[in-house]
Amino acid sequence: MISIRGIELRFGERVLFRSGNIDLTVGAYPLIGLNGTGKTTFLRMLAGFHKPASGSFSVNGDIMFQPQKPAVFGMSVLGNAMLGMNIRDRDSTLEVLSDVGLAEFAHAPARTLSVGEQQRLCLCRSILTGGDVFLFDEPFSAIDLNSADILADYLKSKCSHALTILAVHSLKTARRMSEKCLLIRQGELILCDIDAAAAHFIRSIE
Amino acid sequence: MMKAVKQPLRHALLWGVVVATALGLTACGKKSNPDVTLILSTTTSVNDSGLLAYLAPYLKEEENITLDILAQGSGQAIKTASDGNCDVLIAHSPAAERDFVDGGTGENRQEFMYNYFVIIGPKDDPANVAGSVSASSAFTGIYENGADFYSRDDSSGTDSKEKSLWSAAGIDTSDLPDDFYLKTGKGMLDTLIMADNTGGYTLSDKSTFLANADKLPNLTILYEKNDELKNVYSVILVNPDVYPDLQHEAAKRFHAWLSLKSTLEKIAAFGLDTYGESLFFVN
Amino acid sequence: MNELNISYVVQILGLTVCVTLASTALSAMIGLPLGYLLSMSKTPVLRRMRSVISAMTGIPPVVAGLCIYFLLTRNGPLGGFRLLYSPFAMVMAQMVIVIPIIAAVAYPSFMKVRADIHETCLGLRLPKAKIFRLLLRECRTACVSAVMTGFGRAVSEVGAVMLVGGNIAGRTRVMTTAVLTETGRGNYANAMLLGGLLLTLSLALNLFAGRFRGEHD
Repeated sequence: MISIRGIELRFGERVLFRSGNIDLTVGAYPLIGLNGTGKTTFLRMLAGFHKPASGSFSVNGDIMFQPQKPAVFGMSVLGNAMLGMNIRDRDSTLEVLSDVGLAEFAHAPARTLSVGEQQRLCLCRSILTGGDVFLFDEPFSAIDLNSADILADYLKSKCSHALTILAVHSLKTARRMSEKCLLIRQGELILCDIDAAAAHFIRSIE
Repeated sequence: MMKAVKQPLRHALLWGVVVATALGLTACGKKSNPDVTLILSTTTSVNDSGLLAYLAPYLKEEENITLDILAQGSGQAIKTASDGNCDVLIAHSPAAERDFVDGGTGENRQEFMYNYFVIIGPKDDPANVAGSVSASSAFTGIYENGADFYSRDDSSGTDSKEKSLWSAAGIDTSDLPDDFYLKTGKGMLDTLIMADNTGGYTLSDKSTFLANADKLPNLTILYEKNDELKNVYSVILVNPDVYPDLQHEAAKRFHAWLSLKSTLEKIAAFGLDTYGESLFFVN
Repeated sequence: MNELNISYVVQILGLTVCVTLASTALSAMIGLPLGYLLSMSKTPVLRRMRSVISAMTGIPPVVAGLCIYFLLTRNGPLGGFRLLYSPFAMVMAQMVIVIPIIAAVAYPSFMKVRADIHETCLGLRLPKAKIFRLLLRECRTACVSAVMTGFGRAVSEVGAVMLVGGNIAGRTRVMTTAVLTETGRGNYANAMLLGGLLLTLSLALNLFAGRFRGEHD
């Protein structure tokens, strides 16, 4: 559902990376790379906010894009969570909120939550909005590693029908999600096995 | 906290009510009575004299006309009439009024009352204005004495009269030194207050002085009722051929009413109670 | 002429409230969407428009009054409607002054909030109308501030409303022009009273508006 044909991605004048041909179908794909290698720019490109310098790509289906610092609006947690839903279903919303441990805050103003709690809220919001392609840019950055693992499992189960790409920092979390990953290394974007990625990054990420 | 869904609607309704009320009330600012309201353009000194407020109830009772009074400077008042922005004009600048009529926009200029400018000065009267034979010779006397003279210098009716008196005395005001001939550029009351401060002379209309005498303890009326000081008030209509959609019928009735014997008697009586003398005279 | 009576003051106060609320409300209905438009992107066209609107906030009010006067005078383009020396003319003059102010105060906040929420909203596939409503809601404080700034400008306006309204007692006399009338007659005590009432009115409305400001970070 995503096919990439030989793109070169730049940020201003700086070349971030190049790729060969990559095809992705339903499943979870962690996106791994050091800071500054272009993970955010790549996700923004897929979402339609950035154009590659050369090459082409296509995405089939509705895209659900969660940026690196998603906005939390001045309404209740419940209100925020339901924002992207076409049919606002309180029951399924409350269910998802409870799954991530936010049920008690459902009617509290979303801005009174801690950063980590807000990230969980955004996760719920994205899940509830639904789509065929999910793009997450570091959705667990403010969440401790153990909770991140649990949430990663949850995310995987909820988005099992879709194509999901998540930019993550932790190799451990990545491994829980999938055996395959997207790796940006030495100016190149490739699809490879998690273990192969690990071999390159043990010191840098964990 | 209001519910997220309902809040924008509530705000929209609130604005809607506010705007509707406001517009409705401003529309009601226009009188919706069956009688006619004329826009009268006149000068601030006529308005401030209180004459129009005094005549208003009689006008309402006898002709069913109410006046909306647009009080501006002399030049502005006549310009308003010549631009067709009022229904009728009362002014007291004969030269400018004649231009207005000769130009074709004004018609039926009718002089209906007059009063006198007065020469105001300090109570001790160093220039002996009180003993003058004429207004212009009084001015000569003030010039020779050297006491301060305050001029409004604002092209008002009073200012035009003052400049014509200097002219009659054979003195060119542009030759007068700035520390003698003090140009205030202000209205009558402000100019009087300045004259009161330094004990200077000035030309004034009588009613402004009388109405504010308590604020001007050092000044008094030194010279009056000389033909050179005559201040004639006229009512003038706007030519219907030039501006057809004014309230010409009611304006004509007002014009006629001002010249009625009964109205003129009332005008002559105005001020007798308060000041012991009339502020305006009629023929 | 030296005494103020209650019905006179009430009538003037009432007209002041009506004219100012009407011009502020109408200016908000035009100025806030205008501010939104101006915040939409960084294209050169919009950048120039933003500069123009900012410059227009510096229009001397009496000049705005003159423009409306020439528009409405009998010989002018809208003369046939006989709007000169009416409350409508005063509302028009105030709107010319207030609309740029509301737009210019609002758009920087719109731009900032837009930048903050833009990608999130598009990422959630929200429809344009919903994004606009969210933006207004998130900018509630800025919108209220913009409108109150506009109101403050409108209620203190004296030169323009004098020119196009004519300060006709019972018809176009508002608090500010009434203060001028009283000082012109030397009745400074009355002028102070009217000025004090005007100040109270302004403060009261500002306090009332404060309740609509949201509690945002």
